Amino acid sequence: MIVLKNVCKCYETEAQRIDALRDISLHVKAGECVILKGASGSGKSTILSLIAGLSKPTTGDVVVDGKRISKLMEPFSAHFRRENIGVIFQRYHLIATLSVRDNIALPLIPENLSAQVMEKRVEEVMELCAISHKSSALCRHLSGGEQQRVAIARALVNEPKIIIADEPTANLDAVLSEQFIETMYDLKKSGVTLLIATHDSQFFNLLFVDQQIELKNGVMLS
Amino acid sequence: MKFNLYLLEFALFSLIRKGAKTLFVFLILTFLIFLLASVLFISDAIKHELNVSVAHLPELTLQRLQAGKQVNVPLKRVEPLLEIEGVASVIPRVWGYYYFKVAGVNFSVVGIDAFEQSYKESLQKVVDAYDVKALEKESGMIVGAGVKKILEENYYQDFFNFVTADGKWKRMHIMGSFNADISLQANDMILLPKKSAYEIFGMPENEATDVVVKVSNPEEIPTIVSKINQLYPDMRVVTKEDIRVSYQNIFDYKSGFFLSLFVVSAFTFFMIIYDKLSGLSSEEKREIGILKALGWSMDDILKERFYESFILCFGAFLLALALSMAYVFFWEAPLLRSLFVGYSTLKPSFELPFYFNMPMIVLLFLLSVPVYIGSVMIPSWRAAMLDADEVLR
Amino acid sequence: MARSTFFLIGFFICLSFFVVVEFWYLYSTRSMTQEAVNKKALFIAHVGLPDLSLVGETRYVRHRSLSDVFSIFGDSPELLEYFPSTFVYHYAPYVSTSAGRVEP
Repeated sequence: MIVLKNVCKCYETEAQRIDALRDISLHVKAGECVILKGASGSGKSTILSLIAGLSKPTTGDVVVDGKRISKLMEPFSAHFRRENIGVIFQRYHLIATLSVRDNIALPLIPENLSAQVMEKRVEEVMELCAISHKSSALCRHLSGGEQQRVAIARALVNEPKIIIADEPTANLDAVLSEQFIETMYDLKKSGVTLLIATHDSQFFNLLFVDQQIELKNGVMLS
Repeated sequence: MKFNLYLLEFALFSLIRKGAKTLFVFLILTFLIFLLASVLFISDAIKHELNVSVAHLPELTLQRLQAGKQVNVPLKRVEPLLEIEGVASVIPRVWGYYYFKVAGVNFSVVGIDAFEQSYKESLQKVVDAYDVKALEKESGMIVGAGVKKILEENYYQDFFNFVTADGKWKRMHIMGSFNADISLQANDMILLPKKSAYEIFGMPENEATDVVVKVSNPEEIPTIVSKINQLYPDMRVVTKEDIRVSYQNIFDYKSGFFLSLFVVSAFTFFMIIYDKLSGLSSEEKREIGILKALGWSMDDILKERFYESFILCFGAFLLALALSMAYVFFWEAPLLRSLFVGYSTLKPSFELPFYFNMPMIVLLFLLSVPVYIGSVMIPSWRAAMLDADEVLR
Repeated sequence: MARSTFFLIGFFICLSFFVVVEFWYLYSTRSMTQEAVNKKALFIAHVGLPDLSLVGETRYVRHRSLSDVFSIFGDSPELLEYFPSTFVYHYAPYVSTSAGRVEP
């Protein structure tokens, strides 16, 4: 499903060169749940953005679902992302002045679906994430847990095969983190591939996790 | 490809989301376009009016200069002028100003021969409710609308007492006034029989103020001018072209004067816009990043930005156009009017003819809408080009 | 469709409609008609004087292009008067001291 082959990524500024990732290779099968752990700055987020096609590796190949995403041109990678990948950001990155419904519909806008189909999909994921009762509330009026659920709903609305989550529980208390993990478990059961970057120890002993990858300064330790 | 209404909706929401900034940009844009459109409407209308007038002027006006000042032309010069080849007609004119002290205004007084049949017929067409024959009695006059108004304010309902050069009173009856259609030309005019004009001005009857020459073939004008200069070295020849050029100069000067003000304000505006957008705020960059991560292509993001800026500046453009037409043609352009009118003592009402200059509107559109859209799109395009991985950390 | 989209489309339709109606109204009622052009032509054929009563540059001089020998064609248009040479301390007896009048 996801293959990284000898991937390096470096950021160059005039003054210096920063190696964010050094010679990373990994293989994730469809339906697996992978945890990327490590301190901040260790390269977890960079791996996620490479898989999502948001940035390109300096050397090496990234293949997702049979497509060499590292070589895809911009409009195709956006299309690929839209069809295959759902993203849950660390700080949710909801648009505060839009309603819950509108935020969830954002990934569907470029698809230009009919109003009914769009409505149906949004209703479904709102139901799934138990946020239907707040559908017309503005996102800035929501609590942290509700925002988290909106973010998950938004990641699921385009029915992706892969969910990428970046520090999903960093801003949540223990109870909410527990709920999040349950949602992830449900997703895994339905066959979605999960990639979670976190340093939250709650994730480390989970039974449904298939791989744990530890990173330090851009190098894989395990 | 089907039009994506959701993108348009999103653009609209994001305009509403930016509230005060949107309103500010909208108002400034509207104001600038409104100002420019108004000035263009006024100057185009006046130019149009002038072109109509100039087209019907006699080809040459001859003035006699003595010691650098204009003096009267002896009538005996008319015959030799007529003999020049190519000259169709030579008409000695009597005209001048009459200062009406009570109101502090100058009237333009023109004497004409009202006895010719052709004159009568054509005069009748530009005068309201009046029998031209009365001019033959030597005590009738036709006045412009502005003159009539001022005389009425000073209790001259149907006659006016000119004070002649000798200090005597010369009573002239107001026989009619010029049609409102020609008020821009005739507002301060008084037309009366030549004989009365001589009397009022105290001019000897064997002289004229100046001489107009009509030429049948415009291509012969330079030859005729040089012949006249040879024949009468003391005469200055003013051609129709000279007058047209001097109008052009005055309008270039006045529009330029305004344009320099406009350019300064427009530049300030665009610098503010550019400055604001060239360094897109981190908020906006983040938003672009989020949208990319959610699967929006660069195309979608740029389209959305295009809708956003197009709604804003096309709305401003339409509104400004509507306002400026109303301002110039219904409200007669208060404030801006004084820039174009000068200091004439007898100002006519500023009822300009409506003249729609399509290239001018297109130019206005090109100067405002694409420039603004560009100033929004270019920085957004640059931001959308960058890797969007910053949102993932 | 959201309500604000309706509002936007409504706004543009109303505005465009207004511009068109205004244009049409001005065009049909305020354009210079051929009749007016003919009248102007007749009038100018009679008097032969050039300027519009709009363009009286000074308070005293009308038809300046035919009145003022030196300034109009020779100099640039912005040189209206030269301050010291044309400044008259006392008004001439026939000049009223009022500053003239401005019609609306």
